[in-house]
Amino acid sequence: MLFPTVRFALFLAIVLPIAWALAPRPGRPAVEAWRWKLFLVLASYVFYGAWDWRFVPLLMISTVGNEIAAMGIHLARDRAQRDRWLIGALIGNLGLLAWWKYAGFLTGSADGLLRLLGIDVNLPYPELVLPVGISFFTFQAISYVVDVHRRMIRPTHLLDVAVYLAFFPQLVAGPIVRANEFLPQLAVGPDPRGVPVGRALRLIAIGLVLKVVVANHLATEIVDPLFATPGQYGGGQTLLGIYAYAVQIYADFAGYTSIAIGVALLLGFEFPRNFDRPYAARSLQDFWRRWHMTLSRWLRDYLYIPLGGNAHGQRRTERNLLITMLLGGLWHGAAWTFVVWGGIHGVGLVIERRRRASIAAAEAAGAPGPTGGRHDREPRTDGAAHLVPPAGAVRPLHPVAAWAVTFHLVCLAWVFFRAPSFEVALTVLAGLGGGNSQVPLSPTVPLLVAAVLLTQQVPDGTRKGLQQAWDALPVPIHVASFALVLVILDVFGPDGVAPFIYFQF
Amino acid sequence: MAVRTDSDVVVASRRLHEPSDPHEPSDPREPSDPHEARHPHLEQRTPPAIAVAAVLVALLLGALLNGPGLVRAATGLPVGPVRDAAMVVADGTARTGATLGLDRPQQWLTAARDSDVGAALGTAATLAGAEAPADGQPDGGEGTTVLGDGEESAGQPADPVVAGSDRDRVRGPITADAPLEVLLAGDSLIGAIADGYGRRTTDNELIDWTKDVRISTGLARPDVLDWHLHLQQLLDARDPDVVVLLLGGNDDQSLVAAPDGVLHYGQPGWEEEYEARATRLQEIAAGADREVVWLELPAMRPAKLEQARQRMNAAARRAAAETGVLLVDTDALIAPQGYTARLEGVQVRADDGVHLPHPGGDVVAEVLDRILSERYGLPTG
Repeated sequence: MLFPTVRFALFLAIVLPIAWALAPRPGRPAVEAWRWKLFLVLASYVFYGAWDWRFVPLLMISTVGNEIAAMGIHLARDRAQRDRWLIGALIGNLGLLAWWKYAGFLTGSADGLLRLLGIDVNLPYPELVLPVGISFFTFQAISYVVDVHRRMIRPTHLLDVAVYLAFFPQLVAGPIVRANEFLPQLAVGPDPRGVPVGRALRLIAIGLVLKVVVANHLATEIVDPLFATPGQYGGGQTLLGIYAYAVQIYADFAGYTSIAIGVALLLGFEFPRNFDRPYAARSLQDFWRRWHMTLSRWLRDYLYIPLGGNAHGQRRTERNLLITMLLGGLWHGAAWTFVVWGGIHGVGLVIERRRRASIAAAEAAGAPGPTGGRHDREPRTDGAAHLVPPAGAVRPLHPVAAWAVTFHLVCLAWVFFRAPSFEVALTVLAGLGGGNSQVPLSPTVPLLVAAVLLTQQVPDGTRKGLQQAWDALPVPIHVASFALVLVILDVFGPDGVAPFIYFQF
Repeated sequence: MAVRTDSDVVVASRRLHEPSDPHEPSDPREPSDPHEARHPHLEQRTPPAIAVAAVLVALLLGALLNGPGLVRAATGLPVGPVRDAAMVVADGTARTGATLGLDRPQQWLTAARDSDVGAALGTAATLAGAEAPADGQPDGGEGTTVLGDGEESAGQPADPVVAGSDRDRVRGPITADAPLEVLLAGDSLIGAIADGYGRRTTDNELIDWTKDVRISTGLARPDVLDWHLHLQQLLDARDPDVVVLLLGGNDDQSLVAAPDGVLHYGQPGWEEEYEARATRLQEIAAGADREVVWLELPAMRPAKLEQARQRMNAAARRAAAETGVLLVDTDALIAPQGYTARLEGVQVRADDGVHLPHPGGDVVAEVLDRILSERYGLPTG
C-alpha cells in the first residue's frame, strides 16, 4: 500500500496502538518482547502483501536464507568456512536480485546484440513482475551477513532478522538501514522516555507535501509531457523541464523517506537521515554525501572499499569509483540509460578527483606572492590560509560556479535517468537548443522549482534551529497542523496517487 | 534462548554466550545507552500513550476536515461490502465534519484553488498543439478531403482495421491554419499510444493533437468518472475532427448505475449493459459527424484480464457495428500470435503484462498515424 492513502492511514491507526501496547517497557518481562516483534513482522507482511501477496514468501525465504548464512558464518570453524558461507549468501542475494530484476534486461540486451550481429533467435523473454522493494531488502540482507562476517555484529534471532528485513516503514524504498543501527534498537525496545511527536509529524507532513503536491504537480505539468513528446518544447522550457525533474525526483524520494523516518519514529525507531540538501552540493563528491546517503554509504562500505577503495593508487581508485557508480546506476533500474546515468557520475567523480589532486599539488608547490616570497599566503574566505598556486595552475572554482557546474552535471545525468530510451534522452538534450516554445505552462512550475532549490541553500544551522523550534511546540499544535496538511493534500494533490519513483527499485 | 542486555545485540543461542573470541574486535559503534545515543540533543518527548493518542486525533481531525475527500476515496473502491461499509463511514464523517463546521478550511482552499488567481497559477499545460482550436470548421466549399470508405489497409501484415467508417466531417483542405484536430482519450492504456502519436506528429503542422488519459477509469464506474459526460465536455471544449478512444482495461468489475442498480461482473445482463454503454460512448464521440477510432484492448498476460478483455472487445465490436465507428484490432499490431512482451526484438508490453511501454505505444501510434494520414491525405510522421 502507498503511504499517502486513506488505506495506509487506517493501517497505521491500527498498528500504532497495538505496537505500543506490546512494546517492551520497564517492568515488563524481557521475554515478552517476542510478541511485539512478531506483531511488527506480521504487520509488515500485511503491508507488503497489500502490494502483491505472492511476494511475501519471497521475503520470508530471503529472511530465512540470510539468517542461516549468518549463523553459518558465526559458527564456522575457520576463515575459509566463513568465507564460503558469505559467498553463498552473496550469490543467493544477488542471484535473487538478478533473476527478478535483471533477467528480462539481460535477455533483451542479448537479443538486441544478436540482432545487431544479424542473428535472429528471439530469446525467450522472462516476464517477471518486479517485487516491490527487492533492491532495498536485498541490500539490507547483504549488509547483515557481511557485517556478521566482518565481526561487527553477531547474528541475532530469526525473529529479529525478520523484523529488520520486513519492517514496513523502510521496506519498499528505504532508507537502507544497517543491521547495527536497527538491531540494537529492536533489542532494547522503544525509548521509554517517549516519542518525539513533533519531529515525527513534521517529517511525515513535509514528506506528504513534497510527494503529493510538489512531485506530482511537476510530473504532470511538465516532466511527463516533456519526456513523452520532447519535440514540442523549446529550449527554455526544456531546460525548465529538466530542472523540474531534478526537483521532482528529490521531492518524490526525499518525501517518501521523510515519511518513512517519521513513521518509524512514531513506532519508536530512529532511522538514519537519507538526504541533506543535495542541491546545495558544490561537487559531485559532495552531492553523493547528501543524496540517498544510506545508499552512498552502502556502496562505499560493501562495494567500493572491498574493491580496494582508494588504497591502491590512482588508477585503481578511479577504476573502483567507476565500477561502483556504474553498478549503482544499474541498481536503480534494469536499463542501459541507468548505467549511463551512473557512468556520468563516475566519470565526473574521477575528473573531480584529478582536479582536486592538481589543485592540492599546485598549492603545495607554492608560487611567488605579491611580496615575492616563495610561500606567501593568501587568506581564503573560510579563514584558512593557503599557498598561492603557480600562475596557470588549476584553481578551485568559485563556490557559486562550483554549485552551478555540479547542479547542471547532476541535471544532465538525470535526463538519462528519466528518459525511457537513449533516443528520448538525446531528443530532450537536443531540445535545449530549440527555439521559443509555444506550450502554455503553469507559473507554478518555475515557482516550485525555485522554491525547492532556494530552500536547499538555507544553512544547516538555521534549518536545524527552525526545526527544533517547531518540534518544541505543544503537541496540540502538531496535531492541528498535521490535520490541515491532510486537507492541503486533498485540495492541491492530484486525483489518485502516483507511485513513488523508487518503489520498484 | 534470547538474552537481552541493554547494550548488546540479542544472540541466538546460549552457546554464543561462552567466552567471546579474543580476536573479535569490540564494536565502537555500539552505544552504551542506545536511547541516549539516539537522541543526543534535548528533544521534546511525549509519553507513548499520549503520542499514540495524538496521532489518532490528528488522523481523525484530518478525516473530519476532509470529508469530501474521504467520500471520493470510498467511492473509488471496488463494488462490494467493503465499499458499502467505507461509504457509510465516509458519509458519516463528511456529515459530522460539515455539522461541526470543520469542512470550511477545505471549502476555502478549494475556492482559492478554483478562483481566477488559482486558475491562472494552476493552468495545466496544453499538452500538444499549441495553437488554440480553429474557430469553426474549415470552409466546406471547393474540394473535399478524400476519405476512404469501408476497409482500409494499415500497411501491416495483418490488417488491423476491423470495421470502417464513412464519416466525412472535414469539408475543406487541411492546412496549418485549419489543422486536423485529433483527440486521444481513454484509460491508462492509451497513454503510451497518445504519446507515440504525439512524437510522430509534433512537427506536422497539419495535425493538432491532445490527449486525455484518466487512469483507473472506465465505463463500469460512472460514479468514479462518468465517461459519457466527460467525453461530451471534452468534445465541447476541443471540438476535434477525430476522436481516438481506448477504454475497458478497468471494466472487469460490477457496473454501477445500471438500470436495475448494480450489475455484478459475470451476472446475466452484464454484457448487454456494457455494450449499451460502449454504444452510447461511440455515439457521443461520433456526434457532429466526427471520425471515431476505437482501439480494441490488446491481449493481456493476466488470465483474468485476458478473459475480460475478450468480452469487452466483443461488446465494443457489436457497438461499432451499430454506430459505424472505425475499429482497430491492436492484437494485429502487437500480439499477432497472442500476448507477447517482445515483438521482433522490441519490448511492446510493460512488465505488468497489461500496459504498453513507449516502443509498444509507438507501434500502435505508427499505424494510427498511417490510417488517419491515408484517410485525410496527410503526410505521415
